[in-house]
Amino acid sequence: MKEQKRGMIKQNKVYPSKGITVDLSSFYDEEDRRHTLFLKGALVYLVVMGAIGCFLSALDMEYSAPVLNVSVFIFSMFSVSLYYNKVWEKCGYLILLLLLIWTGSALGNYVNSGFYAIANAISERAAVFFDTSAMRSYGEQVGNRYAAVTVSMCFIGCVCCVIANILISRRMRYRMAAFISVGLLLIPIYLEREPDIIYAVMLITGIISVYIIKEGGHYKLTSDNKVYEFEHKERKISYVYSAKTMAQVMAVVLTINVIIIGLSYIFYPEEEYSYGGRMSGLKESTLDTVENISILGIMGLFNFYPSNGGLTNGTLGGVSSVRLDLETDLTVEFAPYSDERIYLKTFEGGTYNPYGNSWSRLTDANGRIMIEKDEDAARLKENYEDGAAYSAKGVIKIKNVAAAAGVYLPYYSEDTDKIIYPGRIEEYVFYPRLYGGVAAQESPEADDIETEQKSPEATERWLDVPEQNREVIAEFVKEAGLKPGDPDEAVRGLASYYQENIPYTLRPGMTPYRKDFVNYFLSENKRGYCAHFASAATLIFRYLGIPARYVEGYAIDPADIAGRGEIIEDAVYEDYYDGYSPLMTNAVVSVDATDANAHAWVEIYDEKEGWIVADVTPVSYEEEPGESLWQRLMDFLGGGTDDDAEAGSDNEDDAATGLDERTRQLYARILAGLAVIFTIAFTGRIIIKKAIALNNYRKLDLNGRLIVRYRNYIEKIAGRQKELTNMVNYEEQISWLISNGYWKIDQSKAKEYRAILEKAGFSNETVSEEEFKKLLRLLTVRI
Amino acid sequence: MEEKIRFKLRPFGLMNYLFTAAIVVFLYGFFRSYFLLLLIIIMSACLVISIAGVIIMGKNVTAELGIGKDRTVCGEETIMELRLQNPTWTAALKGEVRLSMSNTFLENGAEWTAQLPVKMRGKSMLRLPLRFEDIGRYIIGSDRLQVCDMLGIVCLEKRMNISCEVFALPPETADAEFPDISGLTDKAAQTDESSKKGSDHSEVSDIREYAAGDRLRDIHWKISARQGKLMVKERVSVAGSEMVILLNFVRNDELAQKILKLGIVYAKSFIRQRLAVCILCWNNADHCFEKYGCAADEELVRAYHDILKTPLSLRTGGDIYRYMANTFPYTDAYLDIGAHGGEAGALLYEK
Repeated sequence: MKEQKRGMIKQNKVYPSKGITVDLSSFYDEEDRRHTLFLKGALVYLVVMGAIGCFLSALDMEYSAPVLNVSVFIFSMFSVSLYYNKVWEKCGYLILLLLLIWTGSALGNYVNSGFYAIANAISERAAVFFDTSAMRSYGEQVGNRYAAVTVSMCFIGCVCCVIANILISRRMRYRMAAFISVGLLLIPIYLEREPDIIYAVMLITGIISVYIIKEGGHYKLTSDNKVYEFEHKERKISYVYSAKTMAQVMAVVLTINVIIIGLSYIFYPEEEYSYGGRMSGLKESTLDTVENISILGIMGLFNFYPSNGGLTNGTLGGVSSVRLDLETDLTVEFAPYSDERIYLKTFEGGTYNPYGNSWSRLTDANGRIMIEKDEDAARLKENYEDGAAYSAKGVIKIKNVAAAAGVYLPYYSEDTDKIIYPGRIEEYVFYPRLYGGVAAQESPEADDIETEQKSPEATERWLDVPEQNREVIAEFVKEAGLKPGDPDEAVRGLASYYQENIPYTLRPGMTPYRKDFVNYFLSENKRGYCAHFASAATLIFRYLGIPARYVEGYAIDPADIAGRGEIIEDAVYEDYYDGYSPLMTNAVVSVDATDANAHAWVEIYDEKEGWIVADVTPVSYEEEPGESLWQRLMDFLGGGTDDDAEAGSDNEDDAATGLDERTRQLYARILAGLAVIFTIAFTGRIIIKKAIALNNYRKLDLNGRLIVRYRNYIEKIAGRQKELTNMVNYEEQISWLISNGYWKIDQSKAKEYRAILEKAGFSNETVSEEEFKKLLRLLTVRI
Repeated sequence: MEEKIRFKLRPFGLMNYLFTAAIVVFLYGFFRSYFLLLLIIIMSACLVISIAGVIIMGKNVTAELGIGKDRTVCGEETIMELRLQNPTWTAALKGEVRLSMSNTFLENGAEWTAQLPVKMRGKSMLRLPLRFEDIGRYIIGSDRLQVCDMLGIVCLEKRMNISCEVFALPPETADAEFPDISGLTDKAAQTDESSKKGSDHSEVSDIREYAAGDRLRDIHWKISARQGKLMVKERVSVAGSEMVILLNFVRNDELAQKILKLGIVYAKSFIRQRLAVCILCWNNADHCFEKYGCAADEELVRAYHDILKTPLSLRTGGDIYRYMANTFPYTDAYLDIGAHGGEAGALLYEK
């Protein structure tokens, strides 16, 4: 007996056994739906309020707890009430949407400001945890942080209640609920902040209750509020839900939590719990990454700065944009003697690898990394020792705070093998080239200085331009109107062309796969940062017949000294500088060099002066028009309002060109591990299920086996033909199978097979082997 | 009542819980947070409490089965109640009772599982409105009660033996359905008459000494000769003024039910005519006929209770008519209700 109801065929009678009928119309008691909805609302409230409360209390945020609690409670109840009936569900979601839109527009400032306040609070806690001051901060539009946080959390609470209601009320998805709620809490937990006990109890009670109710398996509301339902396939009469039992379970869990957490607080209070010296090795290994993320945003994961202070070591084009962490890499102590930049050289690139997009590092005959000896240094030293005019000796003390181990060599120094390891301090002695008040690089009086002629062999290696780059460079040189001959003119011409035609940007985009870095920069992208300008300039100079090499290091401007430099009061000037000083000062300063000081430039070889700096990177006007949406999104993910980064000064950082190998391997292993775990879990689950089913099948007698095979057969067809699911007894099913061509048998056979099935399903007799095989032949036909 | 308790581990439940616990332990190992430490303690405590709870509950929880009446008629709604009584301070969302529902007369049945919540210090009840469509003796029983702990890790299975029975009798017969038995009542009268002539439906129940007035034909000549005095056969009439109805079953559920229905219709018809009825049924296990004398409807119902207690397979077999002739040699006529020509029907059998 069936009746058509709202397009669904509803079965009115069930047959628990042959000859017994249960009339469902007189069977179902109706559960009061409101009780169950109230309990589910309470669960949603516990999880959402517990999570928000834990998060805010762990961050020591100030907000109106009663207002937030009442709001979340109301939203929880409202959300679950949407399942009261279909009409209200549709109307309720509409009302909720309108409410959110209204809140977003009317109280938008409060909501935004509250978010920023929370983000700032996280930054503040992170700054304390990482012991750094380089955190980003967001501008809070509303001065009253208390009100802003309360309003924004009410807003968030409303959204969370809707999501939690879908996850919890319908499916009891405790894993997802826990992932969202505890996942959020892991941020303050990482920063060693603990939530308040009351919210911890709420959250744990909520999630464990959801877990238990999920495991119990009786929580789904039905449209007709029935208390019991028949599951034909399982041969089961099961209750749908019991509000009273659900409430009892929640009460038991709450009691356990209160007792255990209470006892824990009595016998092992939170105050006695110390993190000191307890940080796990695994967490320790993530500190750099997390610090990077907290400073740079999500993009910090991808544009990861290796610990060399943002220098690339000659690797080019691997990142789309450069982000500054503004952390101190080096602390440099010296006596300022000129108004020119101080360059500290750490990398010299010899041969350019086209399409490999890198500069080969200079190595000695034994393959050791080296920085070439400066022949001028020895001569200038000699001048100083002879007491020559305009001669001087300087000392630069460099502390490696967080940069890679390496040489950070000032110009005209012989200490080319002094490597500074992280945490160590080294002194470099140098002999500046001075011409009556100006530094060597720009001196028009260079001819007056006694210099030795450099051997032509030494310059030949610096004239190499790869074949793959020649065509593009030739075209560029033609376009820029550069001519071979005078190096000064070439440098000025190129710098001028760069300044006017190729904008400086920290976000030039990644060099596409299978494209050459220099060619792409000069012919297609036509924008970049110092590594782009210096690399291209090196090859251009070489093309013009000027020996050139690519150099990376730190550049400290007089502006940095004036802005960030600190005078070291107790330092003895003579220990740092002796001899002629154009600046005529006697101060010793200490300057922190950060990523913003990391730089790439070119050295060209002048026959009269030797290797001189040719810095052609143009001045930055970073704000670029016409950024793509994707770039803006990337900026949002990575950026915040990092004003220093946006400014993009001329001594911009040098990019880390992608993940370093170790991090890349770590990510790859994590991903591979996750993939393996999921694969094993997924296939394992299927295999175990199949094994259990097979084992159970083997234990069955012929009746059981026949019923199982028949059921599987019907389910398989019903998967394609939904109509079959409405056929609940053998007679109907067999008729359907015959009429739809699945079974090609006559009525007498059909009667026989039905009798076999009924015998197997309902009688105390066992079907014979022959009957079993007879029916099995039909069931094993490929559908 | 024998109650055996045994544990059953639920591997998926355990794996699920261990997986969740492993994640929390990993997180604690990573973060070393006080909150996560509390979570581990609570998860451990919940595990212990949950298992301890189900042990206590399992020992104390009881199941009861009941049907309000011992008999019903086919098609009438009968409420079956399954109750789970839990006197402990723990609750469970999964209480399972394996129910077997069988018709012992027609020898069919099926097993179902009923899932009920186990309420804390309370009773949960499943009220099932059953309609018995087939005639028979229905036994609804349960031999297993299973309760799972709150976390779904272990189940405690309790063996028990509870049952209830109900007889489903043919539905009431409407007046229009009663057959015309005028011809048959004559036969009953004739059998009464013929019994006076010696060919009655009587059986020898005892041998006693001759007394004045005894019929000559009742004298047992052989025993008299052996004992040297006249001995007579003491007779008990199976007919007298009764109508003998033989329920001659066949091994076919539908026909057997029709035979039962016909039997009750005819028997009631006779009873309405103030004629006693003697119902005969073959019992293959004892290899004899069972006799049920009915002078009123209530006796007829009791007779049917007894008839339905023996499975149909034992109600058939052998040459019933020959047995009948041998067992009741003096019965000249009886109403044979059985399968005649593939259909259930009543035939008057006369010598």
